[in-house]
Amino acid sequence: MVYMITALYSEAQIFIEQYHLKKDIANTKFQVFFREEAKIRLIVSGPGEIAAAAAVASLCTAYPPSEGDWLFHTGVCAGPKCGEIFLCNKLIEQATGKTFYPDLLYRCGLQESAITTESRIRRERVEEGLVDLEACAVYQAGAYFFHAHRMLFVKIVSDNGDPGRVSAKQISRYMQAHRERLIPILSMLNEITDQERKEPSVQEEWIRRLSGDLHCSKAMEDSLRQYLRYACLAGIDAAAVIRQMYQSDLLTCSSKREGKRRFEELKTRLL
Amino acid sequence: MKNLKQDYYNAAFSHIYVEKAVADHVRTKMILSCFPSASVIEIDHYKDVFCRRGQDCGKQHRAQKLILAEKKGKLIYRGAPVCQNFGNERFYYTSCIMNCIYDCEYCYLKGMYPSANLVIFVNLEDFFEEVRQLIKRDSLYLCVSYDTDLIALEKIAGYAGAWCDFAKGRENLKIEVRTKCAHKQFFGEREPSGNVIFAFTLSPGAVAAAYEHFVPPLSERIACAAKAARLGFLVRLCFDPIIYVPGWQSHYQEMLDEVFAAVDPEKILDVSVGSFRIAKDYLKNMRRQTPDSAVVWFPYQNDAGYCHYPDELMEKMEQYLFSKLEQWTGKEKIFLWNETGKQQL
Repeated sequence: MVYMITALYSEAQIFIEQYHLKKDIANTKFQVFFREEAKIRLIVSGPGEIAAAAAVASLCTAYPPSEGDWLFHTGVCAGPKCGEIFLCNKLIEQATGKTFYPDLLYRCGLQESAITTESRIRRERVEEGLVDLEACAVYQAGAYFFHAHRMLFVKIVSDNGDPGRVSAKQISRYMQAHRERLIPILSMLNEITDQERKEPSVQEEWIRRLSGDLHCSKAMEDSLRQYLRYACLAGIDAAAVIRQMYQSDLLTCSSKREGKRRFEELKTRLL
Repeated sequence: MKNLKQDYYNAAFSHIYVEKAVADHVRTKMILSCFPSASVIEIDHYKDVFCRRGQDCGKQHRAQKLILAEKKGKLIYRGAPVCQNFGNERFYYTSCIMNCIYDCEYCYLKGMYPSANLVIFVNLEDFFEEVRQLIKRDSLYLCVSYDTDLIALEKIAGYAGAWCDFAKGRENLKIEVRTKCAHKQFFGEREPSGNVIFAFTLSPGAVAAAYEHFVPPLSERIACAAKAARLGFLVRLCFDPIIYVPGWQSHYQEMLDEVFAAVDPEKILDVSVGSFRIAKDYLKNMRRQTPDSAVVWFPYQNDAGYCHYPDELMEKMEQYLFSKLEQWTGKEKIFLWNETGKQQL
């Protein structure tokens, strides 16, 4: 699932249209759009750091992300290269001087730049890098929910210190102009999630049955789970070992003492 | 992660983070020249990147980044009790580079550091200066390649050679350079020295294939150790950590046969033996980072904060290796790690 955040509706529009996202009417504080099949949940925060942080926190609290999920922040910003798209590799918070570094593990094929998040709209020219109102806040709020490599910041330059001249229509147009770059990134993120290995799950019913039959204490049950997890990861056929021991009537124990003895035997057989 | 398409990842060292303070350092420039297409990102302090929250060491190893920084404060540390001191009283280690380009699943670095990115401290001369001060008082045994593999990084940093040059002529300094590398050229290019020990860590092919990623094949590591010994370098063979895999006896036997078919036991300085052991907290971090690693999820026994194989298995593995090695090297050359501190049998 990709959790997307944009400051403005005009920045979100191409994704809403592309993925046929539906508005979540239950959310009254922010505009939220989603479609489970598209694996996208999008929130429009409104401009500014506080709005952005509140939106990330609100979305992630309502729908807690899992290990494989992503936070994707996109939208327009100020910078010297009007119309160009950038992946942000360094986020600088002007108010505090703090810097944040998204972990750039995956190849997006975009040019990169640092971005400075300011608390007011920039009215002067930007000589170097990019300037916006949200990126650092999105990162800081996102860090409570996502790994550093699961947060991506992609910005399109809409102006150079003259934001008054940029209308919502023009913003949509800038976003549209980079549709061919933005959409494949989202597809890639969901593909990566799909391909990553899932944590192996030790069969709980085996553990419950064995724990009962061996009269396991809590500590013994934890140890049993550990052995079975190792066996599963090491490619040891634990099921065959257990089945064989059941067939030989070695695992249905009449006392705790016997259970302990049989458990030791099971451990030896597993290794 | 093993089936994730390789091409989603950035190349190793696609991004290099450089501390502002060392941006003009001659070594920074030299290292950067090895990576002309890398994106260089200026940072204030290496910990801003290295210690940021929410990093995934397992995945970072697939697209490792490089950080160039200056190390301040204390630079030389006393050796940890879980490390073999080879009978040396003043046993110290230093980390002029943090982390390794190899990705061994059982490596304690994964539990010790919050990041898998590689940090090179470019102020190597400051490390030398601290050693100079320490050896004024007494002799020193210093491990310079514990938290990294200096020889594997020789083409980038040149630190293994620099330490060898520094050690030359300093009789009260003995250094150990530990490696899993097979960089034969390194040994061809320099003179052997009486106070630099090259410690080759060797594991059976089955262990290497399962748990040691990006590491040269065992045959090449053996060939490299053999060449170094032949040329007169002080060579230590480290069968430490011994890692349990099903059928471990035959795997270790096979490896020893291969080792001593190539390496003349007379020509090696000593041998180190020890089964896998790790601080409990490190193991906890590693388990969080690598949910699918068998070696990390082995049901280890926890004794006073250190996790190791169950006593019986640990003893069996160490004694097995000891008895086999004894036939080749004699027992006087074998250092067997144990927790009581009595290390040589």
